[in-house]
Amino acid sequence: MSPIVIGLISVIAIVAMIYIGFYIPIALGVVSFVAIWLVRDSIDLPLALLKIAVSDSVTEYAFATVPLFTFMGLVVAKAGLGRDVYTAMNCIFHRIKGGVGMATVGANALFAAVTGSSIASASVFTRVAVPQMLRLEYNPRFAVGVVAGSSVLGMIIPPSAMLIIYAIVAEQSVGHMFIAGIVPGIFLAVAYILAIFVMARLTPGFVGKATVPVDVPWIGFAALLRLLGPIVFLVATVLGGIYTGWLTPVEAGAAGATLGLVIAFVRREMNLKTFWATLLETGHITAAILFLITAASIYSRMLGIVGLPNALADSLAHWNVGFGMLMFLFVLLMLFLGTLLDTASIILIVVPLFLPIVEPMGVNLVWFGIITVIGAEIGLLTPPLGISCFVIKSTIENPDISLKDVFLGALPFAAVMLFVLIILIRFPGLTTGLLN
Amino acid sequence: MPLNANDTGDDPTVPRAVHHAARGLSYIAKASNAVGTLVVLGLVLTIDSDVIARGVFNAPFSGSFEVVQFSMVLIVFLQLPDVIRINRLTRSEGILANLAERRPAIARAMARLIDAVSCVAMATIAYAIFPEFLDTWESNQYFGTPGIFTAPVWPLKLVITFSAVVSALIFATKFVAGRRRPEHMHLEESGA
Repeated sequence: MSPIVIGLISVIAIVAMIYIGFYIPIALGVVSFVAIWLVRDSIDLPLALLKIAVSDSVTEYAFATVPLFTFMGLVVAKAGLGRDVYTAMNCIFHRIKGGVGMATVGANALFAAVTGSSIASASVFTRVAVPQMLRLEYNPRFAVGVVAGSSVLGMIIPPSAMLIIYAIVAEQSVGHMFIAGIVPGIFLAVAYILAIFVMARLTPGFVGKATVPVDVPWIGFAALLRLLGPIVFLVATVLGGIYTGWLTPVEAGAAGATLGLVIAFVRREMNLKTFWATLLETGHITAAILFLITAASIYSRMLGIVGLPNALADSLAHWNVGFGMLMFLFVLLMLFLGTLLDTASIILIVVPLFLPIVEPMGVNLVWFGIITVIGAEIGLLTPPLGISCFVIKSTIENPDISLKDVFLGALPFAAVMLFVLIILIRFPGLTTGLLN
Repeated sequence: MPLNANDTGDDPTVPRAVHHAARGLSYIAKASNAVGTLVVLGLVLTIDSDVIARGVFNAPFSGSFEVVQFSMVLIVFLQLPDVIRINRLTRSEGILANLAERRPAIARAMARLIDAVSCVAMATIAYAIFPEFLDTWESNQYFGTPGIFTAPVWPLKLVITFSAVVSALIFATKFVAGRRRPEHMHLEESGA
């Protein structure tokens, strides 16, 4: 067998193993180890590479962003800021038909700017927004669909765990990835709000009766400021600090986590016991993500050794595949993988494969990262493994709403995402504009 | 979340020795995890004090870069065994959970196979890193910039070896004990 064939079989084996339930880092590590062993016909090289990957890849300074932003996100979720933001957004949007849906999107977008996880957003907003929408006679399918669709914002609007993972794998600056994610994230949120506006008028069957509530009084600017103040202050410190260059992403993460803690303790939403639990959770998530990245670094070395990216580039050149066609195939591949794998796995598997191909084409790798993250995130909303949809299903204690309802409800939002993705590919300036 | 997911419970087919081993490993994993958790706290405080020292007193704390690198290794590898113990190592369990409802015996056999492969993988890491520990211990290797901040390398290699050994043993007990049914999905761990 030629090395290329071994490489190809390895990639397929990894996808298959992850699909049937292997631990993702184990699948990546074991298959890559065996592939290198077969190609070189000696166990010394894979052992040496394993040694380097395990002991050196974790000592990257930028990795510290993972625990810090994870901690910040968990603290902010516990501090009840999600609830506050939702109340404020509801006050702004409630008079419009479909307004509660829009408020959910708006609240998610702002909440996403302080947490890096779609899971946190999905579980917070399932609890606050879904019951209210059901009370106002929204279609249950639409209600859960809005929450699923907008939870994706958590992963695109910085800080985001996926942007960090891409930055590490592609050796880009975490700060640049964060800055580049701002406009696409806001763009997606606005597209969702417009889509809800249109759907509430054109497809009332899908949205439901969507009564405009009469019991939401205008609370006044002072109250609005009190509800939004803490979160706006946090966002300004973290993203402002990174944008102005006053804080590195690592420092911004620490500052954000500390401010979040102060807010949580002042509001008495946190005591020493929950504080310790939050720290424990942070450590668990950090260890899981970084071990995954360690395994992925063995995988990308394996790809280099078997020469798969080069072979892929050659055959693309042979078939005269242009850049537009390449991006089309790339998005198609991610949509397909999205039905099998979770977002992090998709990023870790496709990026080392495609980076050596697009880099010589002079592609901006920060832009490529945003495209990759959004493309991989569409899988959060599509069956059979849409994780956001699973979280919503397990958070609502309503047997009348099935997993199928969540997926069907999320489908229009997945379509909006795809539309936004195409626009972002067509107009790279939307992503790179803030960086210049 | 099951508090003692690695406990083999009162399944009579599992030898008592395995049960005790699982108990003992649980304690080690939890203790190591607690130390790792303190390192997370230390990391936040280190960076905060660096920002304040630089911003307010214009005197950055010169070793913070190395301290951060050092802490990252400790956080990841001190907590990894506990992550494995409570079944939160990243995986997608959709298919396995599905299979468990229809063909529980097959699902259980697959879960065992996966744990066996994982055990071998962690043991291989231990085998690869242990000689590194001996080397760095004997040669007294340091990292950092001399005169500004240096730390010995061997504790890092020791922690990684320790972590890989404990993780391999936890996987081994999972393999031997088997699981009556694959646990519910833990979604947060995927980082998604």
